[in-house]
This record gives sequence, structure tokens and C-alpha cells, in this order.
Amino acid sequence: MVVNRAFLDALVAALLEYGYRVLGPVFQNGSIVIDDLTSTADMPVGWTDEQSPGNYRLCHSADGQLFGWTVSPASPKALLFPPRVTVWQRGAGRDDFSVPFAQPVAITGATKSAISTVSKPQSTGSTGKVLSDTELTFSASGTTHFNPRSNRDDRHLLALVGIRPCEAAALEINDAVFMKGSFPDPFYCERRSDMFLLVAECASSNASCFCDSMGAGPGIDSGFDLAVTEMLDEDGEYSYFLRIGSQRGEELFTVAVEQASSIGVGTDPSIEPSTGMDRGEGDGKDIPTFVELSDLSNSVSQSTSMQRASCSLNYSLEEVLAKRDAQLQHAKELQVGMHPRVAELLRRNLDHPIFTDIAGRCLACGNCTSVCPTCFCSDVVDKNDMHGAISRERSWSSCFNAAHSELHGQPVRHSVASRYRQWLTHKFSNWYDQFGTSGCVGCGRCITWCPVGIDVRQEVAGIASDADMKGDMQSTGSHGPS
Amino acid sequence: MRDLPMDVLISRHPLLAGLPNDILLLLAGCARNVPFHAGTLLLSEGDTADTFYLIRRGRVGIEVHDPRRGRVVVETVGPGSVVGWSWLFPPYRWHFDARAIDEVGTIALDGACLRTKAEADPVVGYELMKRLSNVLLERLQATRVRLLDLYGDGKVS
Amino acid sequence: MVTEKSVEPFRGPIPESGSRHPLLPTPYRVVKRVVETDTVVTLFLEALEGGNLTFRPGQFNMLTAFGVGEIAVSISGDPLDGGPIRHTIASVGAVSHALCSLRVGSLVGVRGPFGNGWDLTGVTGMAGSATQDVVVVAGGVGLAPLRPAVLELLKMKEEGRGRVVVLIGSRSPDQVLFKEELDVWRTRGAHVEVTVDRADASWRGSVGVVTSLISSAPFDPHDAFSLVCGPEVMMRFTARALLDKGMHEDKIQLSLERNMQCGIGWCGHCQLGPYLLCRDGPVFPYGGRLAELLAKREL
Repeated sequence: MVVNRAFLDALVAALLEYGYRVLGPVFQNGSIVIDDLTSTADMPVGWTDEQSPGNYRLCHSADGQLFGWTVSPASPKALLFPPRVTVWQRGAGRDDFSVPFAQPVAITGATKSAISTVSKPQSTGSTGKVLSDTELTFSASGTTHFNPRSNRDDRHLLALVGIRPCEAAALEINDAVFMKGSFPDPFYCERRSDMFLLVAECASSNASCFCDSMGAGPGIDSGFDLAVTEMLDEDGEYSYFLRIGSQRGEELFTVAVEQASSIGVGTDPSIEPSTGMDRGEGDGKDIPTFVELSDLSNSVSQSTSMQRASCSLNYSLEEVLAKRDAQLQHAKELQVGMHPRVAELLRRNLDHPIFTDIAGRCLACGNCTSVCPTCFCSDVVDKNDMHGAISRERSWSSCFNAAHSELHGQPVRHSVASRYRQWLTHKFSNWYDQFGTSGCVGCGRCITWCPVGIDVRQEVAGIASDADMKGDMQSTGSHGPS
Repeated sequence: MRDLPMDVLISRHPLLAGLPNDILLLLAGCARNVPFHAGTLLLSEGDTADTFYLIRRGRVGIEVHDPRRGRVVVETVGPGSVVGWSWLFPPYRWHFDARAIDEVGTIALDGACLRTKAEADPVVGYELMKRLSNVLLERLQATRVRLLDLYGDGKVS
Repeated sequence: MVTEKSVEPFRGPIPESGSRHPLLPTPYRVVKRVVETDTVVTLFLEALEGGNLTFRPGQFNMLTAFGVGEIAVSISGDPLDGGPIRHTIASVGAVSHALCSLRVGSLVGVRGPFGNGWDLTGVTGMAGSATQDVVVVAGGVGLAPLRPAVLELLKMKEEGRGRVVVLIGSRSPDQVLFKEELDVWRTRGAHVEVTVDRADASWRGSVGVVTSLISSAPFDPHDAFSLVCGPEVMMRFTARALLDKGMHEDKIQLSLERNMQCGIGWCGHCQLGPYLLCRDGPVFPYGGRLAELLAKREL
């Protein structure tokens, strides 16, 4: 079906009503970050981002466009795998024997739809609760640099509104690490199991994007609750092709429709949209509207009244799908892809001289690992206070730190070349061995946020062209024992 | 053990195993059985190096005497290995002591005899040198590994 | 007062209600402490509540020295004796030093056991190949994770399995672990040889690298398998010596070590190319990709 922006607001309202903490892209401090949303007005309306190796800039785009930007520096990873989290704490006390250990944490493991289990709006999301006593806390309070407002709320029922297909794909990659292994991470599972995803497809790409070659965008066909495709109408307004991807999405959609009906708008045939560009009171754009698209060739929807609510929604499903295809095609054509055989190329070229060459440029700053939506390395460190209280903290780590590979106090990966190789080969090659998929979704953050503009696609292409010249995928470098 | 012919005896040592019979016979002419009791010296630092020992049983310690630490065993060699290189090169003087740790059975090959036969027949000489070099290489590599002090990363505190 | 129940670490895919958080240690108490060498201590640990964990030879635990940190330490005890959990720890860093300094009665945090452990199916009787010889090669504290395997192998040997050869390399005679116990192993039928890097005249054993013991050790290389643990360089040389002797590369098992901060595949520190050592190892056959990986520098 096709909906208008007001209907998206109704969806957000419904999510909030059901106790979700609704998070999505927000324009903040000259950047787009993921933060709490109450309506689409909080989103970066009318903004677009210019991204290229080592470059990120926000500019004004078309008025009223919600999804004119591509990806923000922040990824949803931090909601599930916070940059810093206290794993456990033990109170002060000198007598070890009397120090109470923390109660084990109860893990609900519930994967049922939050909507299905939450009966009515006033009950907030109570699935996925951490039971902790004072001695042990699992809290998201450390997510400050990601989300400064998160201290106020530690609800685990999260709805992500307006994330990108590549980000949804990244969440599935994270799942393999933190949820699907032998040791599921309770913090992750609690938030992820009931997470609601409203994914916005991409109509464009920035110069760092390569999701198409990684099979992670710009469109999305599964792995979402609701998906929207923003489309510009002939009259200069935006409407949204909405698809339902889950039971949960269906339920939420129904709730939003009920809400729209109950306030008597959107379905009222007497309300005619104004045709002007102004968005004043009584404008049809403010009325939550959806149009059920019927059979392909039939442009007449089931509900003429709703259709008349906004002339901008006058499409057949055929037209909408064609328009979506054209947009996705456009986004793909803007992309420079990753080499299709990158995994094999890297596996065979661990000693390629390009790693030394890259090391001459790479600052080993770890920006790429920080912005990467799938990088999962962490450090586990104990902190003490003067009274003997201990807290164990888990924080993001980076394979670009020398200490990352430390063995008996000495780094295994002394050189930056070896650390870059670790990162690149892990992401694009070893990930298959470890988790059965690529570790990359082609979001391009590592390219945009590299301070010296190292472009993984270009570097891999360099290895590939060497391999091509040699007629196979072998390249220089010793393969025997050194 | 019954008295086997010397060429058969030396052919059972890994160093010379697989050599053609004529070479074995030739080398057997330089060889004799020499046993050592535990604690006795096979060779002594500074003495004339005139013998090459093939170890058949028991272990031999290669030692050096340090006035401060006494006898220091730098390496032990066991059955199937060999002791003594200095007979190969002038001035033919032993650089270390070699002492039987257990009851040791050896075949002693006369150094001068071996040298003469190797000089006279380069085929014999080359074959002998290849086999000796291989043992030397193994010893060199083992020594290098020990120089790494692999187990020495624990800190005493 | 301790209020929580000690729960067996879960291994299922979905954490069940009440499951212990995988990063939360269980309190154990040091009930015995043995000084093995000037840098190595063995701690015997008893769970405060709920019984001790069970493990397989070659597995490891994450041990917490409270207030200092947590490290991976292999288990050196007998998996079948049901007694305290035994850890033989070399003091090489801040946490291991703190653990080595603990006294009887101290509290230690334990998580585990983790890792795959040694594959002993070769001896336990796979399709008639039950008489294979086993060559255990240990370097330094590498003997610690091998001890449970040796004990299990000796039990199997008593049931008529193949020969058990234990070759031990150490820095010096005073650094040899479990010295008294080695004689017990000998009386139980194991062929045990020790070689050291340096020794004075009082040392009647061998001097030299551990690989030099392989050539004369009594085993059939074509029908034997090997368990190797020690410094990585030592393991590379040992694996090659065993290959040279005729052993198949898939029958040589190495226990690898890297920085491990979680033990459960989350932290990413213990990667070696395609492997997360804590999750996929720490024991790997030398065949397959391992030989190539170990030969790569700074991997």
C-alpha cells in the first residue's frame, strides 16, 4: 500500500503507545545520529548527506523529504552492543567470603511479538527484563557517545524507524555473533528479540556506498517488520510505498489504521486534500492516509474514499513497483562495488605488498572499526574503586590497537600492515569461516570516516588486478614458512 | 650380541644406513666397537681429534668445564646420533668434552682413515659429507631454537 | 554471604530463564596451592556452592583475580577424579601474577569450561584403530593442559590401548613441571623423557630441544597421533619433526594460545585467520589450514 507521512507518524505513535522506545535518524550537532523519535518531524527532514572517502557533509535536499540522506555515522549496533557496558559489579568489602555475589541474570529468551503479548497501550513493554540486584547491573547507561539521551530510559523494547536495508542486514550479521552461537549475549538478545524494524529503502547512494555488491541493499525483501520506499509524486509531495514483513508489522499497521479511523480522518470522504503546496491546518498531508493497492493493472483501489484523501496517492501497484525498481536501479548505478571474489582474493594474498602500502597511509586510528555496523571486538577490563568495589566493563575494541593481539604482554600484530590485513581479511574473508556470511554490508562508513580516505573497494581492486595479471589469483609474497 | 660383520653393524646406524655395500665395506675398515662406562670421557677438550663415534646405545653429554659452574652439559646425544666433528678439520683438536651418561655403546671410526678414503674416492667423500652435513644442520637448527629461549618468558618476581 | 546458586554454564543456543550470564564468574575458593617452579603455581579450586564444574582434557577456564582481571587458564587436573579444579598457572602478566600470589582460602572467579579440548577418539577405539600410539609433546607450561590427557591416556593404556610417549622440553631441570608425578606415569607404563635447554652436571637427563627426543622415541609414526602444547615456535618445529618422521598431519594436534578476553567468541581477540581460538579451538589439527596459518607472520 501507499501511505503518506502522516501515516508514518501514526505508526510511530502506535509504537510509542505500545511501549516501544522508538529510535531513528535524528539531525543533531551537524550530523545524523540515531536517537529517540516521537514523530517524523524529529527526523532529518529535507537533509541529504554527501559522502566520499574521508568526507561527510550534510546539505539541504528537497523540502519534505524524509529519507534524502543515505547512512548516518551511527549504526544500530550500539543499541545492542553498547560502546561501554558494565558487565557485572561487586560491592566493596574486605572479607571475600562475605561478599555477596550477584544474582544470576534472568534471561527471558522470549521472542514473541511484543504487540501480541502486550494487551493494551498503558502496559509498556515488559518482555526481556533484566533481573538484577544492587550487586549486578546490566545497563545501557554507558552508551553516551552514541546516544546522550539514553540515560533516561533503559527500556529494552526497541523500535528502529527509518534504518537502512544495509543496517538491517548488519543486525543479522550481529545476530550470528551475539545471539546464534553457543553463548548468546543476554543484553543483546533481550533487545534484539523484540526489536521492531521499520526499514527505509534507499532511492540514492553516496560515493562510499557499495551495498549492492554485498547483497545488502539498496532494497530490502525480508528481515523487516515494515519497509517503506519514499517516492516523489508528480505534485512534488512524498509518499511511501509500505510493505509488511511480519506478523508484528501487520499488527502495528492495523493499530495505526484504527487510530487513524478513530480520529475520523484519512477515511472520511468529506475531507478533500488541498492541492496547494502549503501545509497548513486542514491540509490533507496531515491526515494519516493509506491506500490499499489492488491488482496490478487496476488503478482503482478498494477504498475510493481513502484514495481521494490524497490525490498524490493515485497509483496502481504496477506503477509503484516500477517506480521502486527505477529508484533502486538508480541507487545501484551510483555505486562502485566490491570485487565479487573478495573473500577468495584475500585468502590467497595474505602476503600481498598492498598491505604494506596501505600501512603507509593508515593511521591505525580505528575509526573504521568504530563506525562499522558489524565490528564486534571488545575489551573486558576490571575497574576498582578505593574501597574495593569492582566493576567489570566491556567496551568496544579495535583490531587496529597493538594490544588487541597481545600475547604475554607483547602484540602479535606489531605492524600496522598486519593489523590492516586482520581487519580487511576478517571482514571480507574470515567472517565466512567464522559465521558463514560476509562481515560487510557495504554501508561505506569505513570509507567515509577514514581520515585518510582509504577505500576498501579500491585496495581490493588493486589486489585483484595483480591477480588478473598473473592469470590466477595467486600473487606475490612468500607462501612458505619464513 | 653375536659378532656381526662390521659392515652390517655400521649399516644399522642411521648415519650410514642405505649406503652401497662397497662403501660400507670400505668404511668398515676404519671401524671398531668401543663401549664406554657411564661417567667416562669419549673425548676431551684440547686432545687430538682422531675419532668419530656412532652412538649405538646410551646417551652422551657434550660438556664444557666452567671454573665457576663446574661441568656444564650443553647438549646430549643419544642412540642413532654421532659424536665428534673436529677430526674433519685441522688442527684436529676437540673443542668440548664428551662423556658417557649411561653405559654407552659406540662404533669408533678412525678419523685419519675416513679422511684418507674420502680424499681418495670423491664419491665416498661426497656421500659421507652429505650425511654429516645433514646431522650438522639438525644440530645447528636445534641450537638456534634453543637460542630463542622459548620457555624463558616467565618473569621471576 | 553468598546468595547465588552455582549453575552449570549453558551451552544451548537460547539462554533459558535463570541461566547464568556467560560473563559472570562463579566463585571458587583456593583449597590448596602448590609451588611448581619459581614462576609456576598450581591452584586447587572448590566451588563455594553447587559442586565443581566438569571438563574434558584440554579445555580451559576463565579465571578472575578479583580487582585485577580475567585470563584464560587451561585445566591441569584429572577430569575423572571429581576433586578440586586444578589450574597450573605461569606468572607472566598482571592477572597471572595475582592468581599465582593467591593463598589458600582466597576467592577466585571461574567461568568455563571452554574450548574443544584434545581429540582422544583415536585411542578410544575408532573402528579397530584402538592400538594407536600417542606421542605427547610438551614445552614448558604446555605440560599443564596435557596432564589431563596423559592421565586419561594412561587409563586407556591400562585397558590395553597403544603406547603412551611423553616428551617434555623445559628451560632447565628446576622448571620441569610435575617432576614427582612423571615417575608415577613411568610406573604406569608411559615412556617419559625430559630434555632441558640448559643444565649443570647434576642433571642426568637430556640436554637439547624437545624435537631431538622424537627421533628415538618408541612409537610407530604411521599409526600414532600426537598432542602438542608449548610455545608456538616449539609447536611448529615439533609438528614438522613429527611429519618428517612419517606421522600424518591430521594426527598432529596443537593447542594454540592467543589473547582471550571472553572465552566464548564475543571479544574477537583470539582470532587466528579463520579461527576464533576460544570457540573453534584451542586444539587444532596441524593439517588443513593450520600449517599455513602458523607460517604467516603477525597473523
